[in-house]
Amino acid sequence: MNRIRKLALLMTASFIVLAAAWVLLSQLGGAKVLPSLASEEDTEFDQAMQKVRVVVQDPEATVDWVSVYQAILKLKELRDPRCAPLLAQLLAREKPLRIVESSPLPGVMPPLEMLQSVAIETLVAVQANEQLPAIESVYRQTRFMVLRDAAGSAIQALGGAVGE
Amino acid sequence: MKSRFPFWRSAITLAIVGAVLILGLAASYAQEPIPSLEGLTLADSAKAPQITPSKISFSGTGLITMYDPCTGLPVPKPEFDLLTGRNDPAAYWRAADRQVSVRVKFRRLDPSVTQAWVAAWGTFGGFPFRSVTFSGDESDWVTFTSRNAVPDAIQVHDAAWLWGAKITGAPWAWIGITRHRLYTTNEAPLTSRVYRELVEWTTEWAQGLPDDDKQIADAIMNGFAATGVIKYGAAGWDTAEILCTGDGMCGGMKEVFYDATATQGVHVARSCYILKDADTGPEYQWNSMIIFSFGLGRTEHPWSAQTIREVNDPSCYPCPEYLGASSQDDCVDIEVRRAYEFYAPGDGHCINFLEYDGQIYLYDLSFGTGPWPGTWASLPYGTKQGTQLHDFRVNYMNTALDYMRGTIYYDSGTGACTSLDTRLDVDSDIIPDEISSQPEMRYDWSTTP
Repeated sequence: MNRIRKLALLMTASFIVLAAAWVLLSQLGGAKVLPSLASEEDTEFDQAMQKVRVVVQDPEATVDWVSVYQAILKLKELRDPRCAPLLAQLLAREKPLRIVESSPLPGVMPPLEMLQSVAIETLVAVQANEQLPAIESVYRQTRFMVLRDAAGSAIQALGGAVGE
Repeated sequence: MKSRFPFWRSAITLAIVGAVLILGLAASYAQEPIPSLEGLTLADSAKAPQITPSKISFSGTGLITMYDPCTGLPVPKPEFDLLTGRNDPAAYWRAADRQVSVRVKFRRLDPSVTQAWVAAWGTFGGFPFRSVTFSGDESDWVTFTSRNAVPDAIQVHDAAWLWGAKITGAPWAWIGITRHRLYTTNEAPLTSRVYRELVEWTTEWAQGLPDDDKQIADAIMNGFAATGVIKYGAAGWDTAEILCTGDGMCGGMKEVFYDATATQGVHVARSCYILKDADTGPEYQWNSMIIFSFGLGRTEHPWSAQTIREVNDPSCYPCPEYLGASSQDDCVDIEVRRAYEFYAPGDGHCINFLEYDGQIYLYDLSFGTGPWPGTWASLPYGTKQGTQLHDFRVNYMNTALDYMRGTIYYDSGTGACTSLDTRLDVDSDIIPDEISSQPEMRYDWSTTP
């Protein structure tokens, strides 16, 4: 009887420890690393990240900027902070995008700046304060006023100071 | 036989004649009056010139440094170079009593020439003579200033100067004619980088106008619209890029208009409005803006044809009946045509504003239209929605663009306004400012005053 009670206690304790660990990981945003909890959101996140990664890692790649734009909007919607370092790398890109011929052209600024603008909005959505320097760099250097305004608003939203 | 003139009288006479000759000769070199054109004979001009103007560089106060938009470099000096054949224009901003200065080098064609007096006749009264010396085949730079002032007006001048020279032992002779295009702009440019094309175009379009910002801005807009020197609708988002390739999108067009008016000393604000979702629920007002106009400088549309589901009847909004593409009996007319489409939430349109005499005038270079009065009481910044956009929409936007494409509720034949599956294109004229105090349209404005 004692053996059975001990086994039951051990199982209960194990369950409590596992549950606590799951709650803790969830709070830290680490729930997504648990394979058993892989969800549709993870798949969407990975697919969106892959589209952005191409733009960041291969400056010569010809891309459909609208598709990448939609991918960043998806990241904004998912609000997963793991996207922040990649988006900060996108902000650092200077080489203009090579876009597929079938892409419609944006009106107010070039395709790269359109992506950077929505990347900045996404960094605000995930509260990526650690990426403030990257946004400040865009604010100081861009010659496109719509992007500059987006960067200025983001700096203020993340608690930074907009200076001339 | 006794002479009629005593020796001393002859001596005095000879001395006086000699002195007159010497003084006359000296004067001919030092202060010789400029001969008139009539003083030069055909025989003189028929001779091969012994020297000729080979390089002419414009200089002096008010000279505008012009840039090549493709290289980013200043237009090379000297503007005129006989050997290379280059003959670029020069530009000054207008002022009372502005004289043209040129620095000139002369090329020696006769190796025996070591010195000459050179002058020019022609535009702006020509240039008074100056001494030119040769130690090699080309003289040092010699600076000339025009006898007369350049007219104080926005003007294009086709200057021509007939150069003459007097070389020791020879009469005055023609040594060449040079022709130059000169522009006088309205005021000093407002930008540090002034593009050659913009000087040329805007001076021609604003020629003869008074110093009036609106008249000049109107003339520049009309000039772009009438000539098609640049086109809207292809890649190009800054002035240099558009001037170099000839194509651009609205973000670049607003920069071109800013730089074009700044070339004449007229300031306009630059502004972009970004389409945002005005709906707080499941609808999306609006996904994009649809524009049918060909755009500046175009006679056909550069973008692909697409299906437009047009809602034109005011009674159909806000819940149009849409029974499908094949239906003729609903609120939606189907059309396949070429159109520009600018997407929310990041894209929109860019324009310029001129603040003049207490009013704001909107100019839209992308489509070659303006001035549009009555859009705003003051320059727009930040988010504007609903009734805030009323004057802007009524006095400009509803005319300038054709449809707003939105994900809005429609009746698919069930009698209920619950379908959201197909995006519809609603004539912007029939979209009210607000419905039940909820704004129907929202734009974020970025403006550089």
